[in-house]
Amino acid sequence: MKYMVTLLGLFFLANSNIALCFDVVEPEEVGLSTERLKRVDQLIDQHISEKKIAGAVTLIARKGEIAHLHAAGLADINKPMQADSIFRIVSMTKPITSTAIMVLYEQGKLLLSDPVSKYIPEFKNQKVIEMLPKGSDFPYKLVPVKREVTIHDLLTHTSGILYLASTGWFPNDKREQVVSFYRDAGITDGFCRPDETIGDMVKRLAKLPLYAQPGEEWEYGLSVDVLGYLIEVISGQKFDQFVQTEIFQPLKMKDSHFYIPEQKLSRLAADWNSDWKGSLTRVTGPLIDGDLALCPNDAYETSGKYLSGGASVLSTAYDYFRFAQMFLNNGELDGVRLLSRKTVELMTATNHIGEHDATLLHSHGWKFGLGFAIQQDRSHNVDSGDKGVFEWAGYYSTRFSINPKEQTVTIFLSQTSPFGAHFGLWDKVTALSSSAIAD
Amino acid sequence: MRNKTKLFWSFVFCLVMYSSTSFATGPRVAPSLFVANVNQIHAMEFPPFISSTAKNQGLLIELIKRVLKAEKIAGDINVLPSQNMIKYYFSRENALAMIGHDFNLNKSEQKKALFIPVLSTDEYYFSYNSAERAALNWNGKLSSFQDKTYGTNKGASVKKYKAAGIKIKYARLQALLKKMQNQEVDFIREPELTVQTLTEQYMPNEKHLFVRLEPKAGEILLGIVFNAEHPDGRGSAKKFKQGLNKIIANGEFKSILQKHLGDDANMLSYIKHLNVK
Repeated sequence: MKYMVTLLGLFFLANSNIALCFDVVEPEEVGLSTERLKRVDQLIDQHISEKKIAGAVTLIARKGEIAHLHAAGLADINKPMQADSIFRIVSMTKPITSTAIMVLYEQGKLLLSDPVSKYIPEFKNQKVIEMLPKGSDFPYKLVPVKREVTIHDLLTHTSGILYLASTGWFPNDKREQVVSFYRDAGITDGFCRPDETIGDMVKRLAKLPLYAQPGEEWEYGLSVDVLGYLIEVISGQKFDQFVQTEIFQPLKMKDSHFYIPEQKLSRLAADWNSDWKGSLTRVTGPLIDGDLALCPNDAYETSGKYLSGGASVLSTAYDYFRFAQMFLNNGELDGVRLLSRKTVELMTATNHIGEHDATLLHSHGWKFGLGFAIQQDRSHNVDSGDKGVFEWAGYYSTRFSINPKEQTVTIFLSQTSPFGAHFGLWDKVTALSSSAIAD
Repeated sequence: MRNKTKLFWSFVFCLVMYSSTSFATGPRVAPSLFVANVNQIHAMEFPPFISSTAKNQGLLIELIKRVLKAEKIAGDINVLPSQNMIKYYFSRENALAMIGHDFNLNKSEQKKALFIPVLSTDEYYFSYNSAERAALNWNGKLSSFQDKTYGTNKGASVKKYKAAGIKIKYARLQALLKKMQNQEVDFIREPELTVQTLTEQYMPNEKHLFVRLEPKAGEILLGIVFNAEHPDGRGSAKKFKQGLNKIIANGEFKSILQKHLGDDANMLSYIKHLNVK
C-alpha cells in the first residue's frame, strides 16, 4: 500500500508558487523495514534529547522511492525543523561541482588529462615545496613540478593543493610552510565568503607552491574551488549560472542555491555549537579555530561575489536526494539525462588515486573517485554497507551515501559545529539505513 | 630514373618512420616542456602600480619593462601574491631582481640588494567614516591614534605604532579594507591611488566612506632591487639606472604616467623625490 505524504505548503516553486509534492512510500514496498527505519528516528531523537544536536533531517530512499523522511528537533530558536529546511551542505557542494565538470567533459569541452594551465595560465611553471633536513640554513626549497596539475588531479584531490584548515588535521612542518604562503597571499578556505571572485582567489593560489607533486599524494583541499573557476573559464558563464542551468534546473533542485533568495531565508536552519555533552548554543558569529575559519551566518547573505565550488551550496534533503538518485539511475532522472552511464561509471571507479586511500572522513579501504569517496573493501573501520558505496559529507554535519548495489540513498542533514564529533553519528545513520534492508 | 624513384620512396619511408617514432615517444602534454626564464624578476602585487590583472601589469611594471627593453636586460617579470615567495626567489634561487616596496630585508639580504627607486608617492592614513563611527582625528602625531588599531601587512615595521600605544592587526590590504568596514581596524597607511583602485574594484558602494586623513603620513619609494650575487645583477643595475634616467629625460616616463593617471596635476610628484644617479 502506498501512502502519500503531501507536503503541500512546504515546497513551493521559487518562481511560480506552484505547490510541489512528492510521495513517501511504505518502506516494505521497496524492500525496507518500517520497524528498523524507526531506529533511525530513535537515534536522531536521542541525540536531540541529549542536546548533542539541535535538529536534523534524515532521508532514506530505495529503488527511486523515498521510504523515510524524518525532520526532528529545532531548525532555529523556537522554530521546528521541517522536511524542507535549507542547510549549508558545504563540502557536499563538491560532487555537484565535479558533476558540472563532467557535463563539460561530455560536451567535448575538456579532457580530464588537460593541464589546468591550458585554461588558467597562472598554473604554468608551478613549484612544489620540499623540506630540507633539520639544521639546514633554510627550511625548504621549491622545485619545479614533474608534470602539470591536470583536471583529473583536481577532481581526485591529488593536485597538491591544500586547505588551510589541514594544519589542524594533519600538522607537519611542510604543511605549515605551504599554508603560511596561503595566509601571506590572502587565500582562505572559502567557508567564510571572501569579498572577491573565485577567479581572484584561484589566480593567486596558482602561483603558490604545491604541497606535493601532482598525482603523488591524496590531499583534500581547495582543488574543487579551482574547478569552479575552471567551469567559468571554459563555459563562459558564471559558475552559479552554469550549475543552475546544467544541474539544478534539469534535476528540478528548486531549493538549491549558492546565495539564498530572500523569500527562503526563513527556511534556513541555524548552526549550533555543541560540546557533545549537552551544551548546545546557537552560533551567532564566526567560528575560528587556528586556520579553520567558519562563518555560518554568511549563508544569510542573499547575494555576493564568491562562488565556492567546494563549499557554497545551500540545499534540502529532497533536492540532494534528486541529485543522488540521478547517479543511481546511471545519469538520468525523470526522463532527463544529465550524464551518460559511462561517465557515472568513470566517476565511481575506484582506481583513480592508485595506492592512496581517502582517509579524511572514512578510513583505509576507501578510495576517491571523481567527486566522492568510494568504499573499496569491507575489512576496514568505516563500512557503509557494500563495496562501491560512494558518499561525501559537509562541515556543518551533513552526509550523503549512495549504494548502487542495493539502490539506496541515505541523507543526513544537521547544522552542528564543531565537526569532529559527528563521524560516529553519521556512521550509525548509514549502518541503520543499511540494516533496514529487508529483502 | 629508377634510382631517383627508389631514393624518393626511401625518403618517404624514413619520413614516416621518423614521424611515427616521434609521436610514439613524445610527451602528450606539451606545456610541461616549458621552463621559467633563467633571469627571473619577481614582483609583489600592489595595485595599481603592480597588478597581475591590469594591462601591462600596472604602472610601475610598465615603466620597468620599458627600461629593461631599452637596455636589453633579459628577464621575465612574474607578479606574485606573497612577499615571502618573492624574498625566497631573491635570496635562495638567486633571481635577477625583485620589484615592489618595503621589502623588510634581513642583513644578509640587504648586502646583495641593489635598490633603484622608480616611483615616489605620498602615503596617507585612511579611516572608515560610517554612520556609527566618524573619521579619526589625525594631527600629524601618532599619539592621536592611541588605543586605535592599525592595519598593515605582515612583516611591516610597526615599532613606532606600538610605541605610541596603537594596536596592530595584520592582513592583506583587501582584507584590511573589509576589516575597517567591520570596525576591526581603525586606520591604514597607503598611497591614495592604491586605496582608490581597491575600493573601486572590491567595495564600489562603500568607496566614499574611506576617508583620507590630512596631513600626509609620509612617502614611499617603489622600485626594483637587483641581486648583486646574480651574474648579471650589478651590470643590469647599472644599465637600468642609465635607462631610467634616459626615459625620464626623453619624456617617455611622463607619457607612461599620463597613460595610467591621466592629466593628474600632481603627476610629477611621483618622480619628484627620485634620486637616480
